[in-house]
Amino acid sequence: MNLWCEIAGALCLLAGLFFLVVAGVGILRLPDVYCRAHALGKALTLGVILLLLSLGFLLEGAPWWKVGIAVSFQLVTIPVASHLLCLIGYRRGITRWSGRGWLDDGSPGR
Amino acid sequence: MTTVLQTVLYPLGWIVALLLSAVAVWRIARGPTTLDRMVGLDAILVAMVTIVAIFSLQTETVDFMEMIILLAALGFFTTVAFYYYLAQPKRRVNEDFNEEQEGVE
Repeated sequence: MNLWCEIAGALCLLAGLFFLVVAGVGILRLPDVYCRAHALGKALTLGVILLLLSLGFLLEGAPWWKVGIAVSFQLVTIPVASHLLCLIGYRRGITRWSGRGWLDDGSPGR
Repeated sequence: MTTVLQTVLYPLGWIVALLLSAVAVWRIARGPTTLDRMVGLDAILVAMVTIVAIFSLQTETVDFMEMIILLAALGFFTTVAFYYYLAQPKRRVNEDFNEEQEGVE
């Protein structure tokens, strides 16, 4: 294992942990279920992908196709779960939040 | 470089994973609707993936990659199952959708 692999792995690990913290703050602080699903589907996916890339860089003898399979599984599943959450929230008519307050526009359940 | 990794980054990874799971548990306990609790469950699953990745980095084994893949598949199937359960067309009585939303109507 050479030095550049370790440096790239450390940078990927640091960026992944940063994006996981960003996603945690979003899940904690955002006002709406749609906003929370947005934080889940974007920041959490990017953080986990960077973390798995650092796993591939740092582990000696880690097979890259398994890392690729894990990354593609996370990349497929988490945004689909986020979109399903938003879709069922829209169908059940959960009210949205805007900068001026709670919106009630056109969702069919209400 | 290896000492920096072992002394700084891996404990930072444990701290981040514990913080993320704590935030997710808080969201599950507090969340006003059922969908917020599903968001918390997905975040707990990603925290589990983080814990497994940091553990396999610290012990330098490659035996846990299949476990990460299986955790991703498990989270997807639980979300799809919850979706098909909650997307039933008949509205049940005493469901806790739309409770505790302030400022509605």
